[in-house]
Amino acid sequence: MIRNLIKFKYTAGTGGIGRSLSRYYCTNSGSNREQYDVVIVGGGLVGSAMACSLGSSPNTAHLKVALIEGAPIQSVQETIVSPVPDIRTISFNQQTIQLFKDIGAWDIIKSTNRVNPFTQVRVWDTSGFGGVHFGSSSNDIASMDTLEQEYMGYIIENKVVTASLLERAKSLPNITVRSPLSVQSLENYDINQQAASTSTAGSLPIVRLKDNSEISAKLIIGADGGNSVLKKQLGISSMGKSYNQKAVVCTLKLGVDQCDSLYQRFLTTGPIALLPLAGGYANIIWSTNNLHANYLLELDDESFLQQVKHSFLSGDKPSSTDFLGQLFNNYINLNPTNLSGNELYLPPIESLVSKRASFPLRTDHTFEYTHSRLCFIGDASHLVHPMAGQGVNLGMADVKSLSKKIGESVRSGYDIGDSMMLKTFEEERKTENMKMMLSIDTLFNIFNNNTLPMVAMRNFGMSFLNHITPLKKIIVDVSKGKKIF
Amino acid sequence: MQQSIKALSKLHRFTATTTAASSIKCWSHSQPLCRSFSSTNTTPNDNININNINSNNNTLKNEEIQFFNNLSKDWWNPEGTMKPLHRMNPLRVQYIVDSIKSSTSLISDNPIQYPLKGLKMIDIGCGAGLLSESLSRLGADKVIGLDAAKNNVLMAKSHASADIDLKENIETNKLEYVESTIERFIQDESMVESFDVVCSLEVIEHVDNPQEFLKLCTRLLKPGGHIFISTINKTPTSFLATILGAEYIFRMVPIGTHHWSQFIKPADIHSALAQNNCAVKDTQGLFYNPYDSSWSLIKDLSVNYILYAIKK
Ligand SMILES: Cc1cc2nc3c(=O)[nH]c(=O)nc-3n(C[C@H](O)[C@H](O)[C@H](O)COP(=O)(O)OP(=O)(O)OC[C@H]3O[C@@H](n4cnc5c(N)ncnc54)[C@H](O)[C@@H]3O)c2cc1C
Ligand SMILES: C[S@@+](CC[C@H](N)C(=O)[O-])C[C@H]1O[C@@H](n2cnc3c(N)ncnc32)[C@H](O)[C@@H]1O
Repeated sequence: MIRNLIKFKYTAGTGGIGRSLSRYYCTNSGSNREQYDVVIVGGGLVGSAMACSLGSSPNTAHLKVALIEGAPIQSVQETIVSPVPDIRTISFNQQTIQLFKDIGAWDIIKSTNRVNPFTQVRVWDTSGFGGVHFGSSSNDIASMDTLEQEYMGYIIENKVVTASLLERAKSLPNITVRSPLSVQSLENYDINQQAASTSTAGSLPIVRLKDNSEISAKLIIGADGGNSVLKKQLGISSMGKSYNQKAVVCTLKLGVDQCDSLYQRFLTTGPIALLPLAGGYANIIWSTNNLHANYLLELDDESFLQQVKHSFLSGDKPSSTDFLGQLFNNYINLNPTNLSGNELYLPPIESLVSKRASFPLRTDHTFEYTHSRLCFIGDASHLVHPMAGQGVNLGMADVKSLSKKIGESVRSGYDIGDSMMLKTFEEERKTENMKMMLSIDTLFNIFNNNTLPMVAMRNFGMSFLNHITPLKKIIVDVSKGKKIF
Repeated sequence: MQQSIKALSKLHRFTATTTAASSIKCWSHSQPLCRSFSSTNTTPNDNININNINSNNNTLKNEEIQFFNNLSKDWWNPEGTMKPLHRMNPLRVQYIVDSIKSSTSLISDNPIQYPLKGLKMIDIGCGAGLLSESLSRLGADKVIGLDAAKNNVLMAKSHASADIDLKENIETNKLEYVESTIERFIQDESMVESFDVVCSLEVIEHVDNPQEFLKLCTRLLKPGGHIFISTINKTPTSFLATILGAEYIFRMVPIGTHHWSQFIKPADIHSALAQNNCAVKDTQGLFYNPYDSSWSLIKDLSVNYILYAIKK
C-alpha cells in the first residue's frame, strides 16, 4: 500500500521566501533570529545521539548545534528514582553500544546500573515442536560468525538512555539543548526550489519555534520520529503499511535476580518477547492483532499474567472462562507443544509491576532522506516492526554515517548543507535500511502465516534451526543488526 | 562496465574546440576566446573581448558551442553530466590538504576549519570552480581560479557570488576568477614564483603541449611550493574505457570526443616536472565505482591519477 502524503508546497506566511536576507547572518529586525550551523529537530534517542556525535568528533566539534525537543527533559537521576523499570525498553546491538562509547555517553548510561547485557536469544514458535537457542557462548554461533563478541547486546530503558545522551549533549560546548520547546514549522524553504543546481545559494532555512522565536541554520536534521511533523509540513512522501497489529507492552518482576537471555516466541497472532532487565525485571513486548491486543489490555492483571505465561508455554492451558479468552487460547494453541519452562530456561515470572500500554505497528520508508540543507534520520525516515528490535539500531547507524559525512564536508571545504554530500549519506544508508526492512518483513511473513506450506516450512525450519538452516541465520543476523539480503 | 565508461567519458568529454593562445587548447563556449588577462575583477556582464592574441577559430564547431553552452549550465548540477567530477572533488581536496599537511607545518590556528590559511593558491583550468570553491572555504588567503573559457569563468563567479559563505571571499578578492590562458597570465611578472600551491586538475589532457604547460605551471610556484596535477593515463585500459568503449562500442559520446594520444603517462609528468626543478612526492590512482558513484584512492594508476610534487 502506497501512502502518498498529500503534497503541498509550503511557503511561509509573513516571514517567508519573499523576505530575502541580504546577509544570511543578519538579524531580522523585530524578531530575534539566532544563527546556528545545525538544528536537530527532536531529542529522542536518535536526535540526541546525533547531537553528541557532532559534539564529539574533531571534525565537527566547532559546529554550532541546536537540539530542539518538544517534551520536557528528565535528568538521568530522575529516570532511576523508581526501582521499577519503565515499560519502554530497547535492545541495543553491539554497533550501537560502540557508538555510545565513541560519543562519550556509555559511561553515563552504565553508571545508572540499569543496563542488562544479554548473551543468548531463545526463539521458538507455537505450531511445531522445534525450538532454537543461540547465544554468544555457543560454539555453533561462534562458527557461524567469527565476529561474535561476548554480549549480543544490552537491554536498557528508553528514557535512561535518552536522558544520558541529553546529559552528554549538554556537557558539550558546541551543543545547545532547548526543551521543552516544539518546532512549529520550517520557513524560507521550498523543497522544489532546493532541487535547483546551485544548492548552497540564497538564504538559509528558518526554523520557527512554538514560542515564536526563530533559528536559521545551514543544515536541518529531522529526528522528529515516526510521526514527523516536518515531513508532513514539507509534503515529503513515503511508503509504508500498517501491520494491523499493536504491541502490548508491560514490565514484569522475575523470580530471579539476573537473566541474560532474551526470549521470543512466534505465535500465529504475532511474536511475544521477554527482554530481561537489570534488577530481575523483564519487559514484555507482545505484538498481536488489534482485536487480541485490545482484549489483552482489558484483562485484569492476574488473567493477563496467565495469558503471558501461557503464550510462552502453551502446553498448560490457563483457566480462561470468557468466550473471547477461550477463542484466543484455542487460536494460540493451534498445535500445542508441551514445552516446559525448564526446557526453555524461561525464568519464573513473579508479578506484573506496571500498567500495560500499546503501540500501533506499522512500517514506513521515506523516499528521499535528504534535500539541500535538510536531512532525516531515525524513525522519521524509516519505521520498522519492533519484533527484530532494530528500530533504534538503524537510527544509530544513520547517526554514525551522517556525522561522518558532515565531517567529510568540513574536511573537503563544502557547505555542511550541500546536497551532494547529504546525498552520499542517503546512498549509504538507504540500501542498508531497505535490506533490513525487507529482512524484518520476510521474517514477519514467515511467522505470521497459517497456510500449510508456510507452517510446515516453519516447523521444519525451527526443528533444524540448531544445525544449519538459513532460517536460523536469518534470525541471528536480523537480531544482531545485519541484513539477510 | 557500461556505466563506468559512461562516467569516465562524461568526465573527459571535453574536446579542445578552439585554439586561442599558441599551444593551449581551451574550451570555447560562446565567443572567440581569450581576451587579454586583466587582474582586476571583471563582472559577469563584462563583455570586453580583446582579441589581441592570435585567434584561430577554424576548429570551432557550432554543435560543440551548443554542447558547451548547455554544459556550462550543467556544471553546477551535482546530478548532471558533471556528476563524476563533483563526486571526485571531496577526495582530491582531502588529498591536497593532507599532502600539504604532511610536508609543511601549517600556520593555521584553526586547522580543522581553515587548514589552508596563509597559502596563496592557483587553480589552473578551474572550470566552474569546483576545486577553487573548496580551497577558498578551507581558508586559503588567496585562491585564483584561472580558465580560458569565458563561460566557465562567468559561471564560476556567479556561483560563488550566490554562496552564503563565498560571497564575502569574492567581495574581498580572496577568491578571484580570471579568464585567461596560462601563457597570458604569466606575462604578469608579479605572478611568477608567487604561489604556494598550484593545482591543475583534469586539464592537462586538454592542452596541446603538456611539457610547455607544466613548465609554465611550475614557474608560478614559489621555491618550496606544492603542485598537484591530475589527469588520465595513457594505457590500454584507459583507451578501452574512454575511447573504444565509450565512443565506438557504446556510442555514448560522439567519436572523436577523446584524444587518447593526448593522455599522459605519469612518467612523462615526472620528467617534465623534474626538468623544472620539481620532485614528485606521491602519485595515487583514482578509482570510480559507478555502482555507488564513489571515488577512492588506489595504487593502480592505469586510468585516472593525481600527482603531488614540491618545487626545490
Ligand atoms: C514496542 C516497541 C519496542 C521497540 N523495541 C525496540 C528495540 O528493542 N530495539 C530497537 O532498536 N528499537 C526498538 N523500537 C523502535 C524504537 O523505539 C524507535 O526506533 C526509536 O524510538 C526511534 O527514535 P527516534 O529518536 O528516531 O524517534 P522518537 O523516539 O520518536 O523521538 C522523536 C522525538 O522528537 C520529538 N519531537 C517530535 N516532533 C517535534 C517537534 N515538532 N519539535 C520538537 N520535538 C519534536 C519527540 O518529542 C521525540 O522526543 C521499539 C518500538 C516499539 C514501539
Ligand atoms: C575537465 S575541465 C576541469 C575543470 C576543473 N579543473 C575541475 O577539475 O573541476 C578542464 C578545464 O580546463 C580549461 N583549460 C584548458 N586549457 C586551458 C588553458 N591552457 N588555460 C586555462 N584553462 C584551460 C578548460 O576551459 C576547462 O574548463
